Amino acid sequence: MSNYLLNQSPFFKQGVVPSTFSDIFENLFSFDKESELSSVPLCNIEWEEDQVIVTAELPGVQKEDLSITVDQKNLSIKGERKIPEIEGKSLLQERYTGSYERTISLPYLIEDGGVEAVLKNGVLTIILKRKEDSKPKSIEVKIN
Amino acid sequence: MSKETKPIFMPSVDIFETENTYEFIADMPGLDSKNIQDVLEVVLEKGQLKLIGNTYFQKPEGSRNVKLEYIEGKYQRIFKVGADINEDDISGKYVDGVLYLTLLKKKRIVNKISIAVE
Repeated sequence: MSNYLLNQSPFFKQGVVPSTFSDIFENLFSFDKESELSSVPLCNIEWEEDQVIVTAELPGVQKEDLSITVDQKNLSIKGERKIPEIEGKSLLQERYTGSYERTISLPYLIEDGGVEAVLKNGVLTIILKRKEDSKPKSIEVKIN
Repeated sequence: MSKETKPIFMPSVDIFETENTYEFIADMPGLDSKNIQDVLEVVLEKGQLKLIGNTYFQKPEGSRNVKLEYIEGKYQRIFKVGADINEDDISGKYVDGVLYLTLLKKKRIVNKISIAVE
């Protein structure tokens, strides 16, 4: 009889996990990817002498809902992820919905029009070219 | 035997119940959508739904100026599912780093019993 009651829910009740499902792995052998639970997306940043490459995890964000701005040495990424349009009863809600925002300090000024961005597979890649007159210049110094 | 060294991430999941289906939505950014059959495994059998995906990550080459907040790894999550799910019928799609799965409910057979009144 008890099995019958458990089977009323398609996702068995067990332990401390949410009541509508049972997650075998829970948190063992894994660590949190905070971006999926918060409004601050995780970013990777790589910079060379002439360009900066920033990648950010933004699953489910549409490019229409994304804004990228560069102001002096600050890169700002803003986005929004909307609630799924599914007419049904919510059994579990772990995914973040709402606004994303991240501001990153850049090591140098960026060329006007020198920013390219691609959003693919939930990962945003931004390439920012260094402003020409902010590049280090080689000056020959005469030594007397 | 190869030693698995990739870190394992637990994707965040939403589940909705509709009249005839259960809808799974899992955040799995960074899978190579061109080779999705090779990098994503979805298995529904023996009362378990398994989601396994390997992220694609292009490591910066030759640069020492790198700050990494996320790394290459493997998404993995396993759910026990109930008996009212049809394990032979599951459909899904991977869009913008999100996996959408539809699990069908089994059709319930209702036997109407006529009661004779004496």
